[in-house]
Amino acid sequence: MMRPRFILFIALGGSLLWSGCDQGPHVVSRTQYLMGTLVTVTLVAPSEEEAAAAFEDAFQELRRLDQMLTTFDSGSEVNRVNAAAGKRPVPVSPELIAVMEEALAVARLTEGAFDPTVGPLTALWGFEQAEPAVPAESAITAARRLVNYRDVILDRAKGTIFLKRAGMRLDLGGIGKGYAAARVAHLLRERGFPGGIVAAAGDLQIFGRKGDRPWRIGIQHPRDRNRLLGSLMATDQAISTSGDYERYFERGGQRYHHLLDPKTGRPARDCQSVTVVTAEGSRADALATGLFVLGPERAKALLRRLPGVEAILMDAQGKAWVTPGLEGAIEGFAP
Amino acid sequence: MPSPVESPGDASALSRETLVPLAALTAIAVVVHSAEQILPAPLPGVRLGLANILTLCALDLFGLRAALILTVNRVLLGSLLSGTFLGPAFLLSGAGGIASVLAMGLLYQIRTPGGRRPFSLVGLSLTGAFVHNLAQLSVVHLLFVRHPEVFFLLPLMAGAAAATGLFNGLVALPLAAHLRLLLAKPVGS
Amino acid sequence: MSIRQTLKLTTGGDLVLLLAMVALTVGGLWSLGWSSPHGALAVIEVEGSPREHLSLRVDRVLSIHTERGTNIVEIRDGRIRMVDASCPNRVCVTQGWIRHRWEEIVCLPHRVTIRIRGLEEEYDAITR
Repeated sequence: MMRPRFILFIALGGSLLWSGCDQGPHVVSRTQYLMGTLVTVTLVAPSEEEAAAAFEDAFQELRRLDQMLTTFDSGSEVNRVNAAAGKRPVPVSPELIAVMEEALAVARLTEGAFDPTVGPLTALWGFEQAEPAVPAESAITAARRLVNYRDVILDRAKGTIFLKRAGMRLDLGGIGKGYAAARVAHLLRERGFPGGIVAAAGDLQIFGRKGDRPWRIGIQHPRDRNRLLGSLMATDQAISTSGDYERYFERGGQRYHHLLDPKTGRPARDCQSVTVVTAEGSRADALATGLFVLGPERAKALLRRLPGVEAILMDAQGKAWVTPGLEGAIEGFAP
Repeated sequence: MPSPVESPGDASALSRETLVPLAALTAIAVVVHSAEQILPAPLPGVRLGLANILTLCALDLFGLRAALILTVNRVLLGSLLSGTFLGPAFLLSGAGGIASVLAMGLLYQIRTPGGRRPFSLVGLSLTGAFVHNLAQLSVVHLLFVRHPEVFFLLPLMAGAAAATGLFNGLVALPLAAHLRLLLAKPVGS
Repeated sequence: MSIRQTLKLTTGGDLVLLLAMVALTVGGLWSLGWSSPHGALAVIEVEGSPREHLSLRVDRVLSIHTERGTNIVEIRDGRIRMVDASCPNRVCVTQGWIRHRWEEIVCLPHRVTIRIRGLEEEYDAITR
């Protein structure tokens, strides 16, 4: 007769009788709906109790960041800045200043392909609404004129943000999840956890290892829901994907997705998906959006002069391109 | 007071002729069982369950009652030795052991119309291994994990039971025959 | 006693038992999808905590009632999908069938998620 150790293992995991199992890394995860999406925190933890306390704090922190960055709550810091657009600078927390600095840095790198002031356009298209519709050309043009990251006056000394023109709106949807993931991962690492993943939808911040091996991350195929493009082994990295398949609606046989090009005011058409691998979550998130909007050729050119940033691009024809640093690193690569 | 010498057909007590070799088999079973816990498993999660060889011999030589006594004592003594008495491992071990002995005993009662046994100790061993695993899974399901997920392990366990059951049966078969000859000889000859 | 002598003591019944167990193993593993990357179990989570564990081997239709609305889930041919939902955008319904361990269907308005679980996790996270 065999004495299957793994049955015993399931038994022990399921019961609270024995919690101190020392076989293999003890990996636990929790999921909550936050920031308009699913956020999953995964931890390598010595015990269920320690993990439970950490999850509590992690989701608390995520709620705090959501309240700061959201555009769905008129009381959020971001919306207070928006409400004073064209009128006066608004004092904000040093944290929001830091997020905005990073957002503006990526906006400059991508020459406005990623733009934190895209708010008027996203509000116009209304991807979050029940019945989204294609806006009138005139409305798109009007909204497009209000989008320009150069019109954000950031005063670090006074701690204020000023949107120069009335009607301008910050929308940090393209950087907020990456920032939040990085921030929470940092907190968890400081608490001494040897490894974990904070995944805000497709924006991942990975730290440490899963026991004796790196974490295995799958990359969604942009056209076939039932497939992966491949997988990556990751330790201390952020991975973000922007794809035209996540939030979209269809009208008249056309697919309208949420990654808007600030230059045209319409969904960017030259990519199917962009995955960015780099150290910091906010940069990965914002760059994934920016590179997607830039389109494959300009994105490749930018990536060649960005050290420490790896990426996978799928162009509109479904042709894949990866940065030299990722070549051979993607397991089961099947574009 | 049980009489020291069992009269034929009396099932209430075991004869001295049975008790002494059964005690020896039990002692060996406890040692084998404990040793197996310490030694590394041949495959991850799989153990041969060598103690069942002794159970099979007891069943073949002395019948179901003796085999049951051996198993109960093996589980009790084994858990006391390893310090898992009344713990989850003890429950699993006990449920698996007792269910498998009962299944094997039942199978051994079967006779063909010609009065022959359709299964040898090898068939018993296979059945015992499978029932052992099935009983453990059921206990896990009832007491610990109330998800049907655990039963997805069943095919894997059947495979493991086929391998371990075959091995133990092929050891027990000649061993039991040998022991039978040995016990038939008068003491001291 | 030699191995040949031992084998002589075994019976046809033994062989039948052995073959039956091997058949159960092979057939069981095959039907549970161990040979394929498909998951064996769908977990339906509401607000991030598991509500239902459903075998993908059993075809069925099931209603999931939450305080935000109702979702109807269908399992057929080892796959699962959201057939209908009382949410406004019904994105979850358009997501279609899923069957792999790393796939998921999310109904954000109702906070209902369908995930596929096997006995081991193949990926620690998916970027999408």
